[in-house]
Amino acid sequence: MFMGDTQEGGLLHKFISLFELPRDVILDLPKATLLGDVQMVVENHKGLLEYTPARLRIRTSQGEVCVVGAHLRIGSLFREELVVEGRIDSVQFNRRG
Amino acid sequence: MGARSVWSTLTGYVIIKVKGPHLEAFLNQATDRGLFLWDVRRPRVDLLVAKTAATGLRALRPIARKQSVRITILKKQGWPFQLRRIWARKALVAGAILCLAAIYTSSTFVWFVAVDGIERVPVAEIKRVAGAMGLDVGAPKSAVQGDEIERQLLLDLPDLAWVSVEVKGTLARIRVAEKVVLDPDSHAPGDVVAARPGVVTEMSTFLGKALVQPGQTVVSGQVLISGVLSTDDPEYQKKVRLKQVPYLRADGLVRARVWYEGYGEAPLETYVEEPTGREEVSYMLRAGPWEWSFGGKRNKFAYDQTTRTPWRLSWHDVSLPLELIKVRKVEVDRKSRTLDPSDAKERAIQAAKAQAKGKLLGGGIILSESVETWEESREGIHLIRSKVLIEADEDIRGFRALRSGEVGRP
Repeated sequence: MFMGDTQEGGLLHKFISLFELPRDVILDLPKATLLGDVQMVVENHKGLLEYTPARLRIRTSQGEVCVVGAHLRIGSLFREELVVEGRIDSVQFNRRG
Repeated sequence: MGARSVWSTLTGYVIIKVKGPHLEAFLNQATDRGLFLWDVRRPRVDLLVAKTAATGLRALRPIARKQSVRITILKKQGWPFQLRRIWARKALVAGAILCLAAIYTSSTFVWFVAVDGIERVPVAEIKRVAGAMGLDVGAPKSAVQGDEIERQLLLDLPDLAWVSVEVKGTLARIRVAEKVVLDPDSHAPGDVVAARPGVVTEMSTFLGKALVQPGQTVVSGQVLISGVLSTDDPEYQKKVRLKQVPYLRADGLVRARVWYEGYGEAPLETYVEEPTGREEVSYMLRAGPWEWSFGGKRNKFAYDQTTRTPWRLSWHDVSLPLELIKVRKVEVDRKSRTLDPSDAKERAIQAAKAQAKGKLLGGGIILSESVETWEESREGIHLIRSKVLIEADEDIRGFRALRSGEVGRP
């Protein structure tokens, strides 16, 4: 499991670390949880950019997450949570800007 | 089956096909509106298949119009749709409701009445009293008052010591315990009398006064040992003081020589039945006093051997008043056979002896037997007849209670 990285707000970062606050909520970061290569849960997403059985691009606050594989399907799709199922070959973060 | 699947099945969901361009935008707008989609697949560039709650379908229509896509429902799943399909078949629904109502209604009646614990009291008598109090086959369970039926059974049938009436399901079970009745004459005063006529051979008096001696001839009912007390007997005074009957229960041993006769006969001709190979099987259905026969060609055999095998549907000790009987008739050929006269004579003698010995009181010693045989013809049948006279030495005691006057064995 990993969240999108942030360098901004050193003071904010220290504040979050000091009080052990959830970074994904405070900093609006996407949280992706990978289960082997068969399932991936993405929380705090901002919508779909592209969906085909071979590729899925998901918009996030920091850019996009690109999932490449085969027989990809969307297990469930809700406002801020997306479950990708199928054979996942690679996951790539593409930063905006 | 996950919780989501269970919930979706309970509330109902649809499988939709979305066709058109910009399908990602369609999905984003659907989720922005708070709709939940799952199992989304993309078989073609311009085609999407997804599942969504039946209630969310209405909200998808304006999104589809805006995105210029077309939504088609492929399948409707879940209980709301199943119920709607069932409800459309009103006759089926009505039939199912009627069936359930009939089963429920019939379960409110008593269909079986069982009686346990019976030894002497007739079952029919218990059922008659219970029936008079409202417990019978076909009676409503609400009308069965167990306490009152128990009370009435104890009142009407004095041989019962305890009664329990219980209705479980459609079976009413009546459990009874009978009283153990002591013979009122077992300690009653009375005399020892002769149960058979004979010549007294042995006499021992334990209690009472002997009125006969060995060698004396006695007749049935004659008093052998009397229980009467004389007025100057201290025992007499004691019983009067205790307000008891001043009479003893006479006791003793009396053996006598007795004679019994027996008759027997045997025919000189007999019939032998041999199966011919032809048989007929038919069935009979019996319900109470009515009978119906079916099956079989109703052949009329001159002679036949018939066996009936009944079969009744029963559960524990309760059976339906319906019986199926298999009737098997085997045709036989009857041939007459002449018996050996010595065989016939022997059979007649044995029959006569059995009859004579059957009259013995028990514990008797047979002293001698005399046999007489002769031939006779009766209605064209030749017979050998036999008479046997048995002399035996046996205990001829009988007891006659002062109160009842009936003679019984001590």
